Amino acid sequence: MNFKNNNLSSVFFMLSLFFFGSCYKDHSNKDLAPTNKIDITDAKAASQFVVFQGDSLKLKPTLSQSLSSNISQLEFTWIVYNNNGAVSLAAPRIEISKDYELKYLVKGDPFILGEPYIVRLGVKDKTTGVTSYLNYSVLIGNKYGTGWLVLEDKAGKGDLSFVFTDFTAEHGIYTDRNTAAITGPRKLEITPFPVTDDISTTGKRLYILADNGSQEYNYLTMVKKFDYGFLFFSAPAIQNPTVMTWTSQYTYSGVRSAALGIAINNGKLHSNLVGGFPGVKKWGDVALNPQGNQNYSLAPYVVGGETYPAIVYDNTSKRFYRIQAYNPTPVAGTLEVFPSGSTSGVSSVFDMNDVGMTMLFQDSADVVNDYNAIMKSVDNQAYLLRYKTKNSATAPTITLGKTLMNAPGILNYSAAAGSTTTPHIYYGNANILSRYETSSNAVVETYSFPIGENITAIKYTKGYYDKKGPRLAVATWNGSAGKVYYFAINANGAIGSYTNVVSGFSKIVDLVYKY
Amino acid sequence: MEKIVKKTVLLFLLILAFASCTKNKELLFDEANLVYVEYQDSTDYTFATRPAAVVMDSIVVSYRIIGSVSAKDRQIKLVPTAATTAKAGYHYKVGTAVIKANEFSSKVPIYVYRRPGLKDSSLVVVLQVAENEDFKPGFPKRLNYKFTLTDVLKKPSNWETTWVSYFGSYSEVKFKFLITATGKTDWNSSPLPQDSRYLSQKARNALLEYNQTYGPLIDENGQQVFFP
Repeated sequence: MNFKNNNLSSVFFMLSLFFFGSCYKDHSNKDLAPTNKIDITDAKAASQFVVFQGDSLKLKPTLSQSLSSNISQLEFTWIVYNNNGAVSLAAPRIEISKDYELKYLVKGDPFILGEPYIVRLGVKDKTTGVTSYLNYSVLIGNKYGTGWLVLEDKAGKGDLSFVFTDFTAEHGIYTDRNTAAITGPRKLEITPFPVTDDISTTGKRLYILADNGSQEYNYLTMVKKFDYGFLFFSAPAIQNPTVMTWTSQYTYSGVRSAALGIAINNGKLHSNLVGGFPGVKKWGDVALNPQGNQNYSLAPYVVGGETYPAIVYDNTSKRFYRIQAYNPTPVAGTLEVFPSGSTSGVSSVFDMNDVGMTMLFQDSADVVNDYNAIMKSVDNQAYLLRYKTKNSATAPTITLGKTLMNAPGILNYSAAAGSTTTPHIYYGNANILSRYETSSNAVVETYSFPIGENITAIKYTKGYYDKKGPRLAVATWNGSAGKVYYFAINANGAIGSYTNVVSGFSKIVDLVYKY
Repeated sequence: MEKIVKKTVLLFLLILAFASCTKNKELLFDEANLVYVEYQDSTDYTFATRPAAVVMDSIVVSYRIIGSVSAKDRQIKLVPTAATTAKAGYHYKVGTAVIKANEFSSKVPIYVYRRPGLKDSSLVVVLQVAENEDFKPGFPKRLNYKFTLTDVLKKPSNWETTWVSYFGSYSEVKFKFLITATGKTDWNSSPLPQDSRYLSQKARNALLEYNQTYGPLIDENGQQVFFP
């Protein structure tokens, strides 16, 4: 009995200790006193949004405080960091503002075109030290992604304009972002497919050719990347570029890939080989002709396809040459003759190895792998040669047609473009735009611009962004101002009347559809 | 009695159950760290392909470890074998041979010196990985790095397999011309496609220019130099 009473006493004693122990006054600083709660919200933070380079990033979230309305006790900090999965952990956090409302011009550092970023607002209550955060997910976009890039000659110096798909234009793009002057602008060259040359990041290429000092530019930002000479293993002594482009020999999963780079400088050929192997790829030295010398002068055109990755025309010997892409033979990279003979010969309608005329113009035809070349004979007649870049062992012939052209003014054309959907070549002569039909050998339509407004450049694009048919862009110059007229080409290739006109240009030298 | 047996079995099971809670030892590599030659195990070096002003150059050899990285730099011990005929410190000198902290591999420079005796002789250096406090030798067949050292113009070891298709049969005059025309000094390795293409173009243009300026280039065998 006593033992039982002792146990009960002990339990009672312990409970008493707990009970009185809980009455001890708390001197700690762990009180649950309410603090000012800052709430930051913004519907824009719910998902990623795009900001174009050159635009201002403007953000002003809604702010609320639970215990105060005094904004002066808050400290605002906007930071930004790259949110690319490959680098985000290591990406530096860069402070871009201390204001409540963000207004930040997206141009250059820390923003890189095409990269995702987190823009984070931190709001700190200076009284409590508590900070609330709100993250915005931002993708830096390029408003120059789709549209017409226009190369102008401003008193001998080159500049770029951009015509957006809504036919608004932005001028002075080149001078806005580059310091090196383009002297004597000649031509724009862009690649429709990415190039992996291990000189810079894989992507499309943009070259601007000029009388001298031609350069490679960032395809997206149009900021200068490299001097012309840097793109060669040995810089050419004379810089007189007329062609700098890439041909595609193969298509993988519907996507073309670059195989062979062709540069024509001072009439001589330089080639560049890419194809997945490591190492820096640059344009090589001057290619020799089959006679082992440099006595040739190439017309400023190159075409390429599956069988023949590059075909060029020599206006000195008045003949075509072919250039091989990857081939472990010493002749690969030189000018080579076309196969001849009864079984493997490629020539039937005319001789690719002996044309005997001067090339004036060349462009794609309305059949894939087919090309139209406008030639001038020794007796000043215009001929249309048609050939293809793909053949087979059983059907080796690539020559398709030779026609004495019935195209008034073609020998003195100022600009031209071939249609890739209908059998037409559009060409300009003074202020007259003509549609020459290759199938009927006749000019079937003309369009007259105002007298004195002469055509300086023409470009045809089949894959226009709205997928509502091809467009023809025609640049004109009246001696003081340049314009670009846009024509919606119908299924028969008809020009009709222009649908849009954009003005405010200097003399337009060239234009390309960028996509 | 039955109660005692039951209690004993229960106690045993309890001991067993708690014993199984012991933390497993992690299965990590805890052998001695090893090091070996990572890539190419030999080369032929000649100063004859370099301009006369070059009196010192370097050959870079890659070494890689087997085992874990370390928080500190670790030394690789390289010793010349008995096959070595060059004099250490005079003909060659091994540079800093260290696997840096937190790294798996290292490029070790071996400095070579253009000495007068190399004009008419070829020396051999075989550097072998030896054991030290940081590393033991790795793969037995990848412990040696061998190089020959000379100032004599030697036919590249891969001429007949690589260069013959671009430049034809070998001659010393042709090889010297190629070195001058292209500026290329290392002819013992296989070129990438874009490089061989460029070298071929560059050499052909240089020979064309030479022949137009000075007449045909004739080699030591009395043959005109040409490229196929």
